[in-house]
Amino acid sequence: MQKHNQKEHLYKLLVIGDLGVGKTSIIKRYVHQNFSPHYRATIGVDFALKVLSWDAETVVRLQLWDIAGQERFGNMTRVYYREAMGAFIVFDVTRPATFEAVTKWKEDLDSKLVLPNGKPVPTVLLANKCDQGIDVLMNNGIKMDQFCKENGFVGWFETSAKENININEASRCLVKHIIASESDPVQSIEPDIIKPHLNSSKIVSCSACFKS
Amino acid sequence: MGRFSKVTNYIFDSFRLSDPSSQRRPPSEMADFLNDAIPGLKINQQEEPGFEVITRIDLGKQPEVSRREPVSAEEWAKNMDSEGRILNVDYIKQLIFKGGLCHTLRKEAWKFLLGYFPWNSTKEERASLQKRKTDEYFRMKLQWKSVSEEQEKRNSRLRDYRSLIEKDVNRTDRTNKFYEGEDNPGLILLHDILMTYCMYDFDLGYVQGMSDLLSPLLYVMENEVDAFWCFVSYMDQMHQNFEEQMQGMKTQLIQLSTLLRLLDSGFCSYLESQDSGYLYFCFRWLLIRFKREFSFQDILRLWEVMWTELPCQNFHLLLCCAILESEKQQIMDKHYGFNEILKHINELSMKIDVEYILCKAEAISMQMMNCKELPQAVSEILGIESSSVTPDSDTGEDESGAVLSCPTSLYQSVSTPVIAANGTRDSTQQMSETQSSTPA
Repeated sequence: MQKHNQKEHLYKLLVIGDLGVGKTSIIKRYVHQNFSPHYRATIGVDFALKVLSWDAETVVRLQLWDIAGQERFGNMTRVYYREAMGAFIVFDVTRPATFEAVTKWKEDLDSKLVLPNGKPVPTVLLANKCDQGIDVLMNNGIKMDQFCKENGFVGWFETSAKENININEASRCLVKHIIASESDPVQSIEPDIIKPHLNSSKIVSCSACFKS
Repeated sequence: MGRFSKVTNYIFDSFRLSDPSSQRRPPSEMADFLNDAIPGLKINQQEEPGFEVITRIDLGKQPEVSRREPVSAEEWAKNMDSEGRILNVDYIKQLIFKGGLCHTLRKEAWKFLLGYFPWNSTKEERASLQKRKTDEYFRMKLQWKSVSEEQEKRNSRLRDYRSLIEKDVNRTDRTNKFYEGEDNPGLILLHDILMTYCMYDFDLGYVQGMSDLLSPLLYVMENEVDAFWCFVSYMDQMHQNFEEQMQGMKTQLIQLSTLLRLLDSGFCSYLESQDSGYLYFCFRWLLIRFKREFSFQDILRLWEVMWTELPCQNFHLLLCCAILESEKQQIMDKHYGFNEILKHINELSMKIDVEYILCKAEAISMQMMNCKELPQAVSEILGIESSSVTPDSDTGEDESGAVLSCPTSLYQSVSTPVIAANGTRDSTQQMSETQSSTPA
């Protein structure tokens, strides 16, 4: 497979979460480096491609699937989960209800999609709109770490598409976990999501990345 | 022969199973998933993909179709009596179907097309209707306007509708001059109309996508009340798409699959082999009638053509077929899989030529109407009566084995604007107002 020095990976990533939390804005910021408060509401799904020079030998192409958040479309949009390698679940820090929906999105994702080795796909939680200063949920980082552990997120980030905060970092964190999960293909089905012995240093570095 | 070899190629491909993704995920996993996602959605999955090639109904060659100029103000005025009744409804609909409307006419003509104004009403009757409808509108508007903050705290559904509407209005067609910039009055009108619609139909309320349907109507009407009632009429057609169970979407996907199978069973089999037989990639097209697929100006044209309900029922599904058929080659040649098909179709947005696709869809409709052994299911979807029941009488050169529930002889004659303009009076006498299937 690797005839040349450079390896290329193509990963399908899902971006999901409640309506209006900023999924499209995050993607536009990440891929096109711009922001508008007026991006059209996504109907069905939209696509974007981001190419990363991961390291000297590796190019990573991320195909981002921006999936409509309205609950009513859920039955139909969930077929789009297929073959994804990782996911971002986004909520809006100014609207507590969108955080309450996070576990619902995560459960839904895990029930519809598993990696070939039977494990859930690596998922990063994004607390978006952190520039708004109405952050009612993030008073306590330790609680969020706890939440992620309990709900099987590989990491979490406070993000702002508007101010370009932490989006690159969040993406690197997710990709790192995807690459790690790929090099671990013979795991048996394992209900426990965070495996302390597996790349534990990487998991720590995500949250550290945010805190620093 | 060409078609056959393509299908055999597909069969070879499916034997080879060379696709690495299909090794990773067993196809059965996807099938279960789809059944899970939409209970009750059953599309005839072929057991043996090559089989239908043999029994395939021959639709013959796609006829050449041309379109005409948009209906002019003169043509419109000519077809109206002194009291303002439209003289020949079928005829004017044919003209609109073949060419659309010039922009200045839209404000008036759309009210008829959408059913807000009855075609046989006089100017006076319409004025009094508008007056009544204005009162009714403001009565409903007052209902949500007069809900106090305290009341709203105890009304979670109204609160949810309002928050959804505010979110969506802010991001509806904001690059259009009519809605751009901060504090654009157009946005307030969008908001108020959608809120009032919640009062008109509280069970449905507001669902994402509805602001897309309203925006062109308000743009054309430039009037809150007229836009509202036109929206109500349009929503009557589109209501099922937005209901909790999305029955309208399911039905349309099944119907589309039936039509596409008749048109091109090889392509259908290919899509099925890529787990795309459910045609989910058409979701956005169907939900909001292509609103996101064409430029704003093209959507005005496309919608007015569809509202004529010509040349058959569910013409929008034939538009889907026309687009899919145009993309078939690329999809099959490049051997696109589930993800690529979805992405490819999604990215056709703003790249489709509206006049070309209208011609192609009309050509497909003619192919199907002329088909002598049209399957019953297809006849029902298109609302076509079988000719064995109603013999095709004196339309002369019309060879169709099936007849539309609307007159077809005129429909052929209007392709030239000259005849159309001169023939107004004659055709008035020829045509009965009832939907005759055999025009004299």
